[in-house]
Amino acid sequence: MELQYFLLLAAALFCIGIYGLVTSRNAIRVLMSIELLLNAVNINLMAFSNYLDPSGIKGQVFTVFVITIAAAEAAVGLAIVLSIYRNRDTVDMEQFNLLKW
Amino acid sequence: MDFANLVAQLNAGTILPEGIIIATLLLVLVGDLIVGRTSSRWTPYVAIAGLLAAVVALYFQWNNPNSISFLGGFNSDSLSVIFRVIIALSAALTILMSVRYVEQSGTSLAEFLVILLTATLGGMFMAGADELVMTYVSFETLGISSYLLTGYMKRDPRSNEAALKYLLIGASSSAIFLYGISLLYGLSGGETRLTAITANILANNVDQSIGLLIALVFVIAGIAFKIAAVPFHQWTPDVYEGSPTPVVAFLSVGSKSAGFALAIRLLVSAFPAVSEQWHFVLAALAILSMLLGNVVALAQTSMKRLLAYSSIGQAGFVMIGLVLGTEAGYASMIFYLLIYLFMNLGGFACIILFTLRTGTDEISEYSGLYQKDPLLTLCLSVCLLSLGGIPPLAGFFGKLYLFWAGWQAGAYWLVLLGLITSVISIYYYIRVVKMMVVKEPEEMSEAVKNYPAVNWNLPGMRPLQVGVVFALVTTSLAGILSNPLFTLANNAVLLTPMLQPTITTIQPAPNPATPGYADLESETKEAIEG
Repeated sequence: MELQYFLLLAAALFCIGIYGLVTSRNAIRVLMSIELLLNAVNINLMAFSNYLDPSGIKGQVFTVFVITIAAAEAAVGLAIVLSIYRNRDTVDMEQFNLLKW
Repeated sequence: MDFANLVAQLNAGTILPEGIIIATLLLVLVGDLIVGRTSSRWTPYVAIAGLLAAVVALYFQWNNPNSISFLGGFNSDSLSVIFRVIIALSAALTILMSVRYVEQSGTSLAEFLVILLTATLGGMFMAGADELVMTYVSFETLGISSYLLTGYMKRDPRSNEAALKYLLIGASSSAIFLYGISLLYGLSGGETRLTAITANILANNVDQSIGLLIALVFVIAGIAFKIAAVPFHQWTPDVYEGSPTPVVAFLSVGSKSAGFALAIRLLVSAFPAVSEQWHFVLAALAILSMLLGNVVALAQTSMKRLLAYSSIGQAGFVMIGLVLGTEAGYASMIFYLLIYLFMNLGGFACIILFTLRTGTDEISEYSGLYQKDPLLTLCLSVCLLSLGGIPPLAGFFGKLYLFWAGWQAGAYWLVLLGLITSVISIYYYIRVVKMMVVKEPEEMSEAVKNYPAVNWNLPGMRPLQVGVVFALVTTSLAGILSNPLFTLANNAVLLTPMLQPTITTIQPAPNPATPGYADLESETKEAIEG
């Protein structure tokens, strides 16, 4: 297996994540797209770590940090979605239009 | 392993200020758990004392010869020290103005303080982060706690909406930033320390590759989100309008300064190979920010939105200093941020005071305020005029130095554009001042007619008063007595080794042992001269 395949996989996953981010109307789906973006980065880091830095494995350590932070971000994100659902009874992004000029 | 030995090996003394803040944070958290809601009488003062103690500890870090710590993860050079001071001071001033605001909204003060201190901590670590993992973790510490602060008024749908927008845009931009960082890790052949990355990129001959440019663009996208530069600014007006005003004050100064610290460190030490390209991209961002921020601000009717667009414009001015790449450029940028800290937080303190007394932040509601509350009018006018750059207030000298540095470095178009847009900005700042001062008594707005009697003895009002008066005094005097600040900013740049190789063209490289260093230096020389 060559390094390029992993990078292509990561890039494809990243593009899918961006696509989901731009087109989703449901806030939960947007959060899921962000997870895709972060996982694309994780694949990237793991691939680089295995091929270029097998002795230092800094990329694998980095991945653990990214997973942890992604969990924290998802927790905060879901909490915010929950509180907005309590106040507005919807998680549709198009409905959130209180703030605009 | 011996603990003291470990501390000495990691050079852990460099994060003493952050340690003090962590201790304060825990004290506030546990104290609140034990005592209960009555703790709100003392927690803000404990938090402020902790932040000021951190500033004192930072004073002793100044010009620390042994600044690299945690095996290269954290660099406590003078540049990071000054940015950490700015961030800690902005948090301290924010706490002063948030006591009454949070109490009046009926939410818990201690939790607010804990999250705010965490955000400060993230910002301070970000200012000194010298390694990719450290950069990302501190970036997210600041980010996640800012989302929480933004949504702190959880019963207010506007605050919810602001938090959701901030979270979604922030999380996606940090993911993009992270993708750029992962490419950087790969291109350098598995290095995460910024200085090693540069050396390896030059040694691997990938310094002109398309991958490095992609990494650069993604990293700039992440940074530009933090400093709210156009076209990554869309969140700014919404978040500023919806979130609690003290939080906005912190975001506009603390979070933004942390972003600038990250920008300097990351771009200067990890991307010297594409120095021309990043200067070009940042110049474009600076121009767009100055134009869009200042022009759109003209049409705003809400005070918080006005300050949101004004802060976008101000970020554009500060970016001029970043783009120049000269010693004077960096120094003028730090000088401006120091002044911006006081004038912008002063402006926000006045808006908070007005909102607390009248419950609105529409600009038209300010008309005739002079008759009812002269102190508030004076302070808000001074801060706004200073933001606009009217002599002899502090903001004028900040802009003067920035534009002078730009002119010296030959960035004539940037400076001209800066001058034109600051004239535009004066117009909308003066509009507010005129509204407050000139109106006849019969033109007074409803909010001002029903203005409650000024009473500073309500719980939590004293800190706000202290904040307002402090901002007023510093904004009016910092201009005339600007020499110490000016020297401070200059020394911060002079004493930072990182900024030296790109600046000095005559002196030999401080560390010729690093592989690829000679190439790097000649290249940056070309980039500067060409």
